[in-house]
Amino acid sequence: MKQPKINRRDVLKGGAALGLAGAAPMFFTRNAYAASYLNDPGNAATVTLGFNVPQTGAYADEGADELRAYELAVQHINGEGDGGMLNTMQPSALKGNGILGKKVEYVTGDTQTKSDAARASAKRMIEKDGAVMITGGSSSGVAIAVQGLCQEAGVIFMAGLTHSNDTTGKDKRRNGFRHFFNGYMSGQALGPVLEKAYGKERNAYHLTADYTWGWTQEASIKASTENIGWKTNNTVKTPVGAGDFSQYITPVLNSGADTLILNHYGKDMINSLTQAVQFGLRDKNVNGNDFVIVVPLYSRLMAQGAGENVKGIFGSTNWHWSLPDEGSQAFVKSFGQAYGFPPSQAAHTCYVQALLYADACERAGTFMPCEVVGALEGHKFDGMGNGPTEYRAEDHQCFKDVLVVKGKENPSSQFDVLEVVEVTPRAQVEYAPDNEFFAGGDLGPCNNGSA
Amino acid sequence: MNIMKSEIGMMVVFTIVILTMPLWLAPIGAGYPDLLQKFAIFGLFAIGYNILFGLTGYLSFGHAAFLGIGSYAAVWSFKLLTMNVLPAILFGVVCSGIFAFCIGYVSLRRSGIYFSILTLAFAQMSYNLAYSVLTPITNGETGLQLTINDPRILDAAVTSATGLPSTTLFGLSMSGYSGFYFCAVVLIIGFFIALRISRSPFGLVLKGIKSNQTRMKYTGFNTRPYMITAFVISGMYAGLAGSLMAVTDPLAGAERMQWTASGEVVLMTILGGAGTLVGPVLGAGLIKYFENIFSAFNDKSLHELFSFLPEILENGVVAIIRPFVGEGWHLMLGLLFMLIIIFLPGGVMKGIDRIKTKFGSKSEKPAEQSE
Amino acid sequence: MSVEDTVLHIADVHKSFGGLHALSDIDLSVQKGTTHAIIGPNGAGKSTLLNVCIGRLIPDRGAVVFDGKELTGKSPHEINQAGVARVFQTPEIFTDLTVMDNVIVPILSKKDGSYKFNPMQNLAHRKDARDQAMELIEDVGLHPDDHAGSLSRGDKRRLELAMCLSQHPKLLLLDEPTAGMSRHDTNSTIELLKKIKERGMTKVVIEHDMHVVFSLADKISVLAEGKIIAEGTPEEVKANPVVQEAYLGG
Repeated sequence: MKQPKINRRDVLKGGAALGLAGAAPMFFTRNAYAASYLNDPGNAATVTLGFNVPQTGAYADEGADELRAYELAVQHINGEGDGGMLNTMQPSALKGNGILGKKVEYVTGDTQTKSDAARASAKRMIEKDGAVMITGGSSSGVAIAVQGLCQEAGVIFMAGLTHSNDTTGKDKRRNGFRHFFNGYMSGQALGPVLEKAYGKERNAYHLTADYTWGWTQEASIKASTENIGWKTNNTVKTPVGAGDFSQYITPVLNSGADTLILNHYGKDMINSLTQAVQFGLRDKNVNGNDFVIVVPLYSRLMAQGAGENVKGIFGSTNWHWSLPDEGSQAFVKSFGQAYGFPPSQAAHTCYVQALLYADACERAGTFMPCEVVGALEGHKFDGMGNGPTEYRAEDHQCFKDVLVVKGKENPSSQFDVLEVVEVTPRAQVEYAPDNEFFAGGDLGPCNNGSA
Repeated sequence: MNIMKSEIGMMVVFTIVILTMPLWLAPIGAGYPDLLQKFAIFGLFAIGYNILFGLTGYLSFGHAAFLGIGSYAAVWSFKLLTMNVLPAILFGVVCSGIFAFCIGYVSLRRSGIYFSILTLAFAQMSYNLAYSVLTPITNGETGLQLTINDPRILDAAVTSATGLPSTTLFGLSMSGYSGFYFCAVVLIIGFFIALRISRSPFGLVLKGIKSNQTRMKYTGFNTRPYMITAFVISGMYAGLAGSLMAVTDPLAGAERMQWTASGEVVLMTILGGAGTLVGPVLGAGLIKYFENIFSAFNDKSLHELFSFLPEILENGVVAIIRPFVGEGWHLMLGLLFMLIIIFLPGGVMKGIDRIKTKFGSKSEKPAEQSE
Repeated sequence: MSVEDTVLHIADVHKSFGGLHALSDIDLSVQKGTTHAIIGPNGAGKSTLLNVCIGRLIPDRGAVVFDGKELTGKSPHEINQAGVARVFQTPEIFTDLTVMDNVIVPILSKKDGSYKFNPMQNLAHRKDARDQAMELIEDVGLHPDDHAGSLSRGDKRRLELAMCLSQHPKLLLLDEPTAGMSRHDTNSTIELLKKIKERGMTKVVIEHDMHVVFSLADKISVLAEGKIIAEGTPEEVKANPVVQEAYLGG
């Protein structure tokens, strides 16, 4: 753990500073010969990772859970605790002695769910704390902004929770990797389930968070629902962190729509769903159909926040703690022991990303970004909770099964709010790298950064 | 303190202090390029803001709009023209100047609180435009970023496409320390211009407007064009700062235009000392320092910091300090701001003056006050 | 009296606020080089009349002609640039600035006009303005480096007078220049105003203090309830029975 040094103010004394004026130009060439890539830990006994998560704002709950997962991952990589998924990961080069024999330390930053703040804190971690990898997310806008920064600076970015198609679509970068699934996959997985549950004759009304994630998810869901014969009544953009959605929900009542699709996440989803239920939407009957609500991207934290209101509502998720496989159970067990409750999907993806990065460094034998990129591209692994998974080399997107879930009617505990309806196989959600929803981007070359 | 009164002396001292920042800020954990760049950029923003607020007394709550416009303009210059920073800066300053003229022309029909509210309304409109309405130009919440496929007409002949280009000054990369030194030079030039303005007949007229606008009118001055000029100049400074933000980090986001960002520059100016030359730079540095250093603390780092105390005491101290650092650093800032306003209404510069006079100084008067 | 000698001509001016006729049928001519006093009881309309002259109020009817040019409807700075300066009842000075800067500001207005963009010019190099200001400051007995806000009331008044004089106005309007002053200060102000008179500057003075009026004025107009009820030399006015009834006797 590093800490900012903020004592010794006496150094401020002007005289000393003036005397050193002549030395200023040396900063241009600092470390020029010492390293071949940015923030090379060299012979140091430790290596620093940067965890950049929202600690304030609409996604703060997710951010807090992500941070817990990162701390757990660091413990496991360093050989502390019960090792979690280190024991189930296939293949694994990790030895439980840090990465490449160096103990892992970490620094944290608050993205505030704002691009500027997120980039500033990522820059601080790279420039001041010497972080060799940045990871985190919870808002795709932020993830894309930070991914761009890491590409320019020359460090690896392991995206946390980011669900926008653009992260590995038009805004993909060579130094950036995403384990989480995306809006298109949600659409592909949800389509057949919705058709089976609600039929072909539906009139859908979208409320959409007004940024890259909302836009791409709306487009993906719209395409897949229209594919099964649904009509799209209207699509309305709402600001992130609005708090009160009543002005957006009232028009739904008289729109003639019989389905409300909430492209919201975090506290926004909790608020909009709660208000939609309070306004009596679910008690209505339109065109002979019972009014239904769909939340394409679900998370247990949100479901918990929305309480009773999620019962019977369909959505998709990257992972759920109730999964029976060995990897999931190992992770849930060590997370539960450390914090007293099960991890969210955000925590899961962040934990996995940290392990995957550590493993890639071990396999590459270095922290040099371009070598790590090489080790991750096309890497196939298993035992991390999602079954067999592949990091596709063409766009750095992980391909794996997707879970379709439903709010549980009779929860057995406050955490048991979602039930898995279907595990959509990877083949059904896979797409070509130049799919229309992902076209226009270019990974570009990898960047080792200039030391 | 004669050296502080002569223009050359003041510039020499200021230049040395700014250029050696990487050295004397390193021991307090602030000697890394991103924060140093922020010091220079927000220093410039505050200096410009002070030309309006410090000299004429008109409190604008909308200057973040010009900061954002400067950023967007600069990023578009990077996307369409060239990665060279000079056209970007020029483009940013001109665009924000034009916007400042339009907004100033309307807002300055009123004074006092009504002026402040008008500027706030305009800035909020700009923010909403950038956030959602003008998405094709601003890319909304995600922010405007460079892509490999941007045209970059002037660079097209020179570079072969190998990844994202970075911003340059005729080949010198504008990230890291070179970016800081570039911003620092711009800050020094900006400071010099502000110094000249404050000591010019034009500056005296602005101070006259702050002191007694009625008298100015009955003394034959047409105050409105003076106000508009001051507003445009400070708007151009904000645009310059915004374009420098894009130079050091080629991204423009709408949150840069939010009212909180406008409020921040007001805080910087008041904290440092409105109406003084150095005060705004000092205030900008203080606030950015607090933001970066205190927001980085978390439970673990606090416990390590106080680990020399007995455990019970350690936990107590950490529990008390915790709400004021990390994600709650705004509390700390609010507290600091309250203390300054209550005990040092003239800002930090006023405090320095007081100390000077108290300890048998040779300065004849509480100088620099009206600079 | 010839038309060319008339500096200020107030012709048939009406001004009412709601139902109250503040000014009605005012006809007044001020001759070049004279000191013209306007007296009258409180609420007679003296200040309203002055405000009409400097553009603060626009008359309902009638015109104010200064130096052959119509002032009605002009903005205050245009009226000042035409050559009219005003001393206010409570001194309007720049309390945040030094005495020197206070006097330089009106000189800049006179020299550079109502708007000039010269941000790169060094004020310290404006010797023309500084010398002239210094001379005036010495004339009124003040110190250039003092802060205007810390001056006594009498000194503030003197400073405002210096500021107005620095512009060499063709017409100087004074609104109760000795109000609230001690006898000593009043006398020194009278001396100062007499000195200005020797320079041939035209002045209009509104004053309560008869001592001041009779020591300065060449001509007096008596205002009551918005009308001019008498006009003439100090002796004529003193002897006028109407005035005695309306004002002096009352």
